[in-house]
Amino acid sequence: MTKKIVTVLMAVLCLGYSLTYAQQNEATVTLHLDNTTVKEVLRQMQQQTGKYFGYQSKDLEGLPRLQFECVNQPLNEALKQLLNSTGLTFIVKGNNVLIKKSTEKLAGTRQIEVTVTNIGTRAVSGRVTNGEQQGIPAVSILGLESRKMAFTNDNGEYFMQIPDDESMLSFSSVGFENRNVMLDAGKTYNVTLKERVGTLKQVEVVSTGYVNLPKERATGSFGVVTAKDLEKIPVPNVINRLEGQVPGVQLNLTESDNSFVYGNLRGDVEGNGSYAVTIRGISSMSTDVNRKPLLVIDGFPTEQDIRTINPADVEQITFLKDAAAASIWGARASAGVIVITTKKGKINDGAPHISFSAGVGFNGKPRLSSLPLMNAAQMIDYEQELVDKRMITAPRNTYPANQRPISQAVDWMFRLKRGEVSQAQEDSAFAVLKGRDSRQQVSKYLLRPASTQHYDLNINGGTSRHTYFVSGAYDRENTSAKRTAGERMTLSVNQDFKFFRNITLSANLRGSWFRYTSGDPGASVYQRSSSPLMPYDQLVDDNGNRVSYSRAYYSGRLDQLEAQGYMPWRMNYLDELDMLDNTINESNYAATLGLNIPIYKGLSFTTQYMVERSISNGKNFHSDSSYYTRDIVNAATSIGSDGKLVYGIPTGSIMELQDYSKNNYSLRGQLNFDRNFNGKHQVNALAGMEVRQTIENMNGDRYYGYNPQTQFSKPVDYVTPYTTVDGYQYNVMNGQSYSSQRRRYLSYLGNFSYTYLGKYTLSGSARYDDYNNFGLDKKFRARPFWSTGLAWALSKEDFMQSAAWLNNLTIRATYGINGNISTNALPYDQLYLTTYYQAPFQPYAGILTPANPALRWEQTGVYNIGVDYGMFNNRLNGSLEFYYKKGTDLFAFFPIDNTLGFDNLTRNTSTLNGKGIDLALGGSIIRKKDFEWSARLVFSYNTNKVTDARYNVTNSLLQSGGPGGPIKDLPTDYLMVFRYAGLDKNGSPLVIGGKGDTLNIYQSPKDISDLKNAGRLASPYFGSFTQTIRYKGLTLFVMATYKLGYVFQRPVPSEYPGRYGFLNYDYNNLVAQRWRKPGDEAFTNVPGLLGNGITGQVRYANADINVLPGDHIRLREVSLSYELPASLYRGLPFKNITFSGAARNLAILWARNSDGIDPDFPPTIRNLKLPPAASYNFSLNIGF
Amino acid sequence: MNRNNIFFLMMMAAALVTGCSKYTDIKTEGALTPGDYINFRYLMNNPDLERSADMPDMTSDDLQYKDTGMQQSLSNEYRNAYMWAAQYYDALAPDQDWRVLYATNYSCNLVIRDVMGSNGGTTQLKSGVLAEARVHRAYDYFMLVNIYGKQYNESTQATDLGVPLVLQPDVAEAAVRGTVKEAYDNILQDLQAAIPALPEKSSYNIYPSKAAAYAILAKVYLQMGRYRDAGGYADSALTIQHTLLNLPTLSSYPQRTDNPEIILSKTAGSSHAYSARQVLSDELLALYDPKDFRYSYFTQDYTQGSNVYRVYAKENVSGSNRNIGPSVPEMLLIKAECQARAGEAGNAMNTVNTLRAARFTAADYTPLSATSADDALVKVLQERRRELCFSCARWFDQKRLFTDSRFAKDITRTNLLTGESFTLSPGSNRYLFPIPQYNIQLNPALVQNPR
Repeated sequence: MTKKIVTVLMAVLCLGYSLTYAQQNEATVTLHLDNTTVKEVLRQMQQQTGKYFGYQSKDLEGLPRLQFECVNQPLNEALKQLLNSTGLTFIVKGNNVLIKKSTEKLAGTRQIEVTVTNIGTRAVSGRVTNGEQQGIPAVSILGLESRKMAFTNDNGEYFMQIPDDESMLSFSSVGFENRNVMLDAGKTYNVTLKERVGTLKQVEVVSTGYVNLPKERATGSFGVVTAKDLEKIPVPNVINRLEGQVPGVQLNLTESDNSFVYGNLRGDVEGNGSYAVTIRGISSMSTDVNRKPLLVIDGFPTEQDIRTINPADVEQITFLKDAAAASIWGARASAGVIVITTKKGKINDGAPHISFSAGVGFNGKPRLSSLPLMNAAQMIDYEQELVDKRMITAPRNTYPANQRPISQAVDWMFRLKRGEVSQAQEDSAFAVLKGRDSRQQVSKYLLRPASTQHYDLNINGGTSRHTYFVSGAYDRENTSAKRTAGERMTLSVNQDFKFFRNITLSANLRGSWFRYTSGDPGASVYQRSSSPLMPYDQLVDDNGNRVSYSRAYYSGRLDQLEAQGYMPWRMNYLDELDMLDNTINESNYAATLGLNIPIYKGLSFTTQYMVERSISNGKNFHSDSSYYTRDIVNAATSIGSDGKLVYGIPTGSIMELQDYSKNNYSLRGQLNFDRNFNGKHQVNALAGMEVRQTIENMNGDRYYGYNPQTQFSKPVDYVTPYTTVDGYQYNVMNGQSYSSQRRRYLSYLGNFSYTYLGKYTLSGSARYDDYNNFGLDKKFRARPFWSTGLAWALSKEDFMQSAAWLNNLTIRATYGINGNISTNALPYDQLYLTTYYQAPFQPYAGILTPANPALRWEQTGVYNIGVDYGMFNNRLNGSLEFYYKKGTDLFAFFPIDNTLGFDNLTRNTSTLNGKGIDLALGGSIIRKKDFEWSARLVFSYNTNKVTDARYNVTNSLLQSGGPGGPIKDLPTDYLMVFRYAGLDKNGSPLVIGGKGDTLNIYQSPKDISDLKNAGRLASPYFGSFTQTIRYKGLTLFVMATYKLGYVFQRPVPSEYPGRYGFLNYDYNNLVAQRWRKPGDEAFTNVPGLLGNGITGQVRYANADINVLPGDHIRLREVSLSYELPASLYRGLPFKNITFSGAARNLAILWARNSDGIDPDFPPTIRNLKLPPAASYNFSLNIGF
Repeated sequence: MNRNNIFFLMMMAAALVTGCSKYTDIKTEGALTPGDYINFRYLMNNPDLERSADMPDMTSDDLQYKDTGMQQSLSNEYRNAYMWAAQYYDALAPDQDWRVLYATNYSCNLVIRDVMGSNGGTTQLKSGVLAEARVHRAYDYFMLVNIYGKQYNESTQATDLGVPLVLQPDVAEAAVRGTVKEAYDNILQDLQAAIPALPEKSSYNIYPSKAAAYAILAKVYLQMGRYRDAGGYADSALTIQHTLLNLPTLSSYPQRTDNPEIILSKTAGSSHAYSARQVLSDELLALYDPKDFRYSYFTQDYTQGSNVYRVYAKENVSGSNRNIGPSVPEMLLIKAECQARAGEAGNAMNTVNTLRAARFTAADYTPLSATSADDALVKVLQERRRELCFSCARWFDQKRLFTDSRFAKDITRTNLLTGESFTLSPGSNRYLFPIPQYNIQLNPALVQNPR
């Protein structure tokens, strides 16, 4: 009864996911065969039903040829018909059909109920391997009649007791074709399973970095990306290939024209602003704690960025998502763990396999037009108002030091005021300026379509005692900024040696070398600044001459100074570009040595040593004719009493060096135990300890008056001040810096899992971490982390065997503790130390953070419940997980009454709950020999809620809106906005308060209800939808990614020129719609230039009218690959040839905002990144 | 054999575990924690200790903005302060004077609590650092209580609200306002306690010396109206430090740290060299003789549009923030005022003339003389305005002097942008700066001043 209910329930559950399905639940056969053998009939039945038939060939010998007809007949009936009077009978068990000699009297039994008779048992054993002679762990072995079951160990070996009369063993494992083996008198059955072809190949092993576990026995939440998945997205940086692959993993990629030429290349900030990975949302509010996932490569945490990995070297990537999966990594795992396993050679693989690929990629033209900029006419109109309202004052009338540069248009305006030019002259000049659009020249001279190149070669192979994998690759990325580019070379060598008594030595070497050139301003010439490139400015004038601009001071003052002997003091964009010489050379090396010694029956000892080095040398050479150098030298030059120039900084080139290095090692000793007792009890355990040291060095230098020919530089006096061009006293900037920081970690760890009958798994792990932190006392820095979990392979239960359509159903539940400690909050005052060169040049200290005696660890309890399922021959498969995170003692950054000496304080007081759903759903819609179509949906939901009621709504939030500190019952990434009610008659914003009252800029919101919760800034719903269609050698892959349910803010003019008379030109085209005169409020919401102060601007910027929905679906990747039929190159030494073409970022398929803004790249004027242009990649892959 | 293996492994593991426990007992480089004497020394080297207030110059009658353009160029907080508005700062923005002075106070509190128990250093060195912290803290509270609290009044000081007296480096406590008496008591106590351990004169004027402690005591007693004490301490300071810059003979005005007139360098919170010009009020301008080198050195014409203003220009001349800490001229002027108030008109004039001689060329210099003690007092106070303009002294002087009917006067200012005007009468509540709204919203225990 129970069985039935479960079966029905499961069937109902699956209805929701039903796909077009060729195979019926109850297998039927339709055959019209004439003069055929029984064997052939069985073969065809197997083909039609997809079931696995097993028989002894000798049993079929001697049977007469026959005629066989049946139409849509159930298999049982058909078999009965076929085997009638052959002396054979059959058993159908799940997906297996056993044909055997009838031992009983012939009867009409459709299904023989097996009763195990007491006729003695015997032992069989053997090893199950894949095509490459590697053992397959966790293969289930089922005695067809006796229902005896056993599993292989991690080496693929099995041992089982079966009744003497057992006739067939069925070997099955996810990801492999089932295989039935008829038994004879033998004792050893070594079986090779064929990997299941097709795109739905299931992953069988997950890696925590310490241990590889069969997925079936893993209780935790693991997300796996295989080499095959990675291959589909031909981007040089692995991180880009991970997008949309694993539910719960959110990747924000913000480099639009490259993948590894990050804006931040070194140190802690490496990759910041280029990509961000969050695994199941945030669990800390503080930014001091570690929020980047830990990256583990081949078993060791690495300090190197993911860009150092050649994607072609990656065998598998495992995301550790819940506490049970990640807690083995302790405190460093609080933001999740990414475990990368690299490829190795295969045992007994024979001759070297060589694979070569080459590719090129091109991007579309940079989309400058996507920037919401004013045109020349609008800008001139804006400047006219600034001048009329005296927000820009004539530089001539002020102190020399205050003579800021002004634009061409403003210069005309002042000249007109002074009467130097006539209105008509100004008009005609403006007519020319208004006809220009500097974007055309910027596109032409400063930008280019980005492009990539890629070459990759690898060789692998192996004998029974030695395997090797050697690969080398070269990649180049040219970004859309003309002189900014990066090159990467990678080399890796992985080898395993087997010595006597099966001792394994593995030696892995990995190196990557980068060369970056940078410094090209690109589109950032439009970044908000006091002197951006104006829309009417030119880089090259109508006669083809390069145009120079005054940037330091008003041109009149520069004329004067140049006449007095100062170096030319104008900036020329194109000359600067030509002289650019900024390079970073980086070398990364990593080596791992590991020794595995089997000790006794499943017990082994592993010791591993890893050493890593990264050296990055940055050089910025500023030639003496570069603007950078001229500007610095001129600014430090004064006119002495004798009328001669006095140089505060030596003339000549300036060279800046910035070296950065990391030097790490880890040493680990580990005892492993993996053994199956009685075919029932699978025990897998490890215990180990690990020490780790990381050293970070930084070293900077700056040479003045440097001559690259002689390589001499001129000495400078850092102590005696010089007189600046404005008559002030300054000291020469000292570019020297050195720092070296050493951190040490000591950890003890253990992991245990026990599986009974291959169905029930119990797991646990614990880790104790200690590290040196500023000499902090042990009780503050060391803490144990633990987790536990359960898994139940429901589909292996007897009562589920009748549900033939169900291949896999496993339920998992885990709980564990993650923790984190702030690097800034300490139980005592933390000081910074600075050296001050100006007299009295004493080193001095300040207080970085005040003492926080109540400091504790952050603690987050993580619950996870998951179901893995595979149905209909695994044609429908995936997983569904729910998780809940309960954070306590979280660090939060509070504003405090600064009477106590500090504006903000990190306290250990907050609580935060998080929850979410991870869903992966894969379906093989059509699976034929020549035609396959599969689809996969990845869906993630993540949200969090502050549960701490002690937070007060801060006044700063009330006054300014926007994102703010934690508020009870709201997620951490809320956005508070003003209910905008347009402008008043003075052009000042009005907002509506909570009681419907209208507030002008002098009236403050008093309560949180005066603001409106506009939604979340991080997407709570995200994922991807992929389709793979294969016809013969041609494969089409399409991936769309989506983010839903969040908002972003429209870029708006953030600030009009400030009180100091400095101009921060804001280019935003909304400025053109600004309020100008009473009455304008009827049709514009953009505040007027005067009388609004910061309050007015902030209320406009954080107004509800400027909140846009971020929801969008992006066509991220379309790739087409064609594997040439072998017939075309028969006789040539090729094993395979594949052509592929891929297009990336083709389009935003749908966006909820109607402004045409890419929500991932809102054009903020402070940090200008163009939205991605479509890129196209072509590559050729040849295997030898 | 196998057993041996396991045994061996266990032995190795045990050895590792014991051997490794020390592995992590190293300190991270690049960051310091207090505990060592030297770190407290470093804390007291911090140039932030030189920072002080700025806004009292905006509220004082040294300054006057008579046209719309100049008022418009002021930031909101400056315009509010200029108009003695109910609040100066947006509730969003911390009051910089409050913030800077209390930030310094934390470092001082930390040093005062912990330096004597620190490792290394001699008791003498530690006492020296402790004394420096006390002087800085006393100075901070002198500024704070006079900006935000009531003018010292012998009879009501025990109940008049002053400022929060935070004397422990503890971010967990909630600050509450103390009385004026508590502030003054603590200031005097800190200074007296500091004196024995301080050097006569420090190597640089950013470090407190005995002279600095005496000078602050002189300022404090002057503000309290205890003229005998004020004069005495001014004298003590002058005994140690008395060099004046002879302005007419200077080739260039020295940097703050090289200026021999400065006894303890404290800078105004923000510099006005590049921003809102500080326009001299007609009253102040009228006090200057154009031959006075202070007129030509410290004030300049400033043209905006068609208007020419006389603005304070010391920051332009020296290329750095102005000093508002105690100086030799200030000590001379305190001494002179106390002499005048003691009826010693002649002595007072002599003291003032010592200063004036360094402000005029010999040809232009004429000594001042007084007809009576009252006349001497008036002349000393005029000299005080000429010498100490835009150093926050005038606002404090207005607070203490306007209660005296001889000097009391109303000041009326009009906001030309809105047309509102306000008259500040002697003893007005608006002689107290508002407690910053920013702090009150974070700490409702802070009581606002009546406005």
